[in-house]
Amino acid sequence: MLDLFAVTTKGGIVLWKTSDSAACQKCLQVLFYEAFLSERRNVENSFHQGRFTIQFQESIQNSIVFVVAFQDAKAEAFTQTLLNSMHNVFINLFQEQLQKKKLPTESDILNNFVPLYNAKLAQLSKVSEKEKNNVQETTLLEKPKAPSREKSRNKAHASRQAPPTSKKGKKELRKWDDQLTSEEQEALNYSGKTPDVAPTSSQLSNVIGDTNFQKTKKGDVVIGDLEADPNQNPSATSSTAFSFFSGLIGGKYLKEDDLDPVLKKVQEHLIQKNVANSISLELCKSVKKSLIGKKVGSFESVKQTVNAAFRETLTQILTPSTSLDLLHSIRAVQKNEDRPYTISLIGVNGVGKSTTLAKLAYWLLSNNFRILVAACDTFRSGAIEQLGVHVRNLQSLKGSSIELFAQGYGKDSSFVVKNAVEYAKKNNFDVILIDTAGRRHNDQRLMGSLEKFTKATKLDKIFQVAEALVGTDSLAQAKHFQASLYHRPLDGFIISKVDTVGKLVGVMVGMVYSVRVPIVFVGVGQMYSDLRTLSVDWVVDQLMK
Amino acid sequence: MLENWWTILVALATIPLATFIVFSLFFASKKTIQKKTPAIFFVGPTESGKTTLFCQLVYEKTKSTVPSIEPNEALWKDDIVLVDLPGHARTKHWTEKKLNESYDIRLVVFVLNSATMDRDLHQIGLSLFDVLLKCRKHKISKVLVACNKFDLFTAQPAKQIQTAVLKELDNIFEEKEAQLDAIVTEDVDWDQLRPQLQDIPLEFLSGSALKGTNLDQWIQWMESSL
Repeated sequence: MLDLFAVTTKGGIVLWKTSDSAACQKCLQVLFYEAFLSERRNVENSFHQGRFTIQFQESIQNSIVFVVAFQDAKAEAFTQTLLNSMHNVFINLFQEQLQKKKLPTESDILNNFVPLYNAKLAQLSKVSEKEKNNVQETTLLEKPKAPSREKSRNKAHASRQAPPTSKKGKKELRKWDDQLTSEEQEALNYSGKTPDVAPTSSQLSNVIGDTNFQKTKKGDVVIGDLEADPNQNPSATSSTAFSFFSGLIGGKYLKEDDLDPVLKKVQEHLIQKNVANSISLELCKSVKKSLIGKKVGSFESVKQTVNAAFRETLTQILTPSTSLDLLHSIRAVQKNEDRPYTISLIGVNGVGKSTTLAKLAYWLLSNNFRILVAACDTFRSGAIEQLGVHVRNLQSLKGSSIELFAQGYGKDSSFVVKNAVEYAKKNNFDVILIDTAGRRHNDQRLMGSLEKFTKATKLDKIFQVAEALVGTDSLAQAKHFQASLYHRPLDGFIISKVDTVGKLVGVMVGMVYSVRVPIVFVGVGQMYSDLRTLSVDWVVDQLMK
Repeated sequence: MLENWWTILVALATIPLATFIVFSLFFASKKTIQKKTPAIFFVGPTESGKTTLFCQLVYEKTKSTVPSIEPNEALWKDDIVLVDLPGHARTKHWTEKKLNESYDIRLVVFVLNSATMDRDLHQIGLSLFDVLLKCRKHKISKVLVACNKFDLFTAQPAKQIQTAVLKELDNIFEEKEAQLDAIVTEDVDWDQLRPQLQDIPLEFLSGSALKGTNLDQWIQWMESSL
């Protein structure tokens, strides 16, 4: 039923796998690319490649990943339990070696791990055959009992009866009956909380107040630099010379109730930095997932670990996977295809498209390209004159290798752009910079005409300009503009007016995270030279300060 | 009187001694002042064979691999640590982290895929440029360019790769001069930087980590430069 089960390290070495076929190898690659190396940090556990479904589980402390891949939908019922139990078995078997950072050898794995795996797989496959028969009976029994159940967490999908095994190092199968004995509830409870406390205890502790933080000893949430909290001052001094006494006892493993208050603070902090609410929630979720069970070093506090994890996540999100090298692409097109390179700027009204276009023109002129500015904003009064002013300024600054192409107001912009491309080809221009009309992203008619515009001619680069001042609307802008260009992805964002927001640069994170498009330039003023490339470290610093 | 005086002296002496021991333990554990371990770093674009090469050298076996997300580290020949850094763009932060740790980096092995040179030349050039910048920053003076996957049909020989890569590096130098400043400008004087980067010697050698061909050539070069 299972096509592949594999144990790999995060460093890239496959410790053991059940199948050597090329399709399975491809599944592994796809999993690693999608789950760990893609733009968006995924919080799901299952991926698809062709007809295969791939699920995985990470052991965060030991940097090991367990992968299953299957085509048969029947296998889905027990893959999660298989992953869980094999995870525990593996860790228990090879605990010493993993702690010493040595990999278990192949013979070790073959002799100790594989027979357990085979036995478990056989057991689960047999059990899943049986449960299909049991399911009908037990669902009838369960329905009247459901209202009396207080613990809504225990969703019984199907009941499984399996004899508890007493093999060493092997995890006992859960017994999901109509009634759970209290000891089974204890066994099911993987969090630090007792099952009697309602799941909202973390929320309660936040409502009760910060007094909780001071009482606990090692897991003290010291949040000094995120906000000036007067309660934190006494504990802040403890992180000096004498804290190493407590540090000598050893590092601790992070649990949910340690992380929750800190994550909540960081989430609020991010929202204050103008990151959209939904984005900061998702970020917190993914950071929490990556930190649960992780070992904190003896000198680090929970706050420091969480901050470091956030920094890493934000850096990962903002770092583009392919670097945009505009000059190189322009030269490549010049050399190989002998046609002008087209760059188009789109965006809502008033974000700074024409100004950014002028800045880009100034930069490209410094690289000795011949630029044609195509005024495809045929709607707004004064748009063509504005571009004319810029072109005149640049001509006086840099010589006459820049020209304006305009065909008046009221025309169809796709018509204008086609003529502009022809004119540029005839007169040997290297780059065409196309200015479009600003449009509300939720206006269907205008977005439709934008779609038509982008299909009219081959556009090498389409950049969306967004201002750093915008709030949560940035996400909707990004999504709608991206959706209207469904036949090709947006090539990048240009975030303008960054000098006006100071530290509140959260817009960048939201836009990149929601549509997986990188930020290529940043505008920092109204002069021609106020254009910068993105420095991810600077943005992350501004966000985390 | 004498004994009292002596005991008082001893008592007074132990207090500063104890605090001295305590604080030295504290600083020692905080900073872990240890001798820098000699290391060789494997870098290069993604899917070039770094992890395979690492396994060949450390475990002397051909292991099947997946794209690395984290670095691999192991002791080789009992005195050198090999560090295999992941090559994907999204894992760049690991390179910075590892470089800042206390390793005495003797040499850097830049692994590239000889069979996809046509498609990846520009990426390889950019990646090598980054590596050279870091070598200059951390004062590493030797770089071996291991032209891996020589067993594949479309693999190019080392000499050809050398000319192509050096030419691409020159192009990149030209382009970088014309680039915009990043929003945080580093204090880099480009005119001085370029000759320094061009001075770092690059040795191009072909081989295949998977099949083990020419592996001893690489090992020889690695050992000779230690």
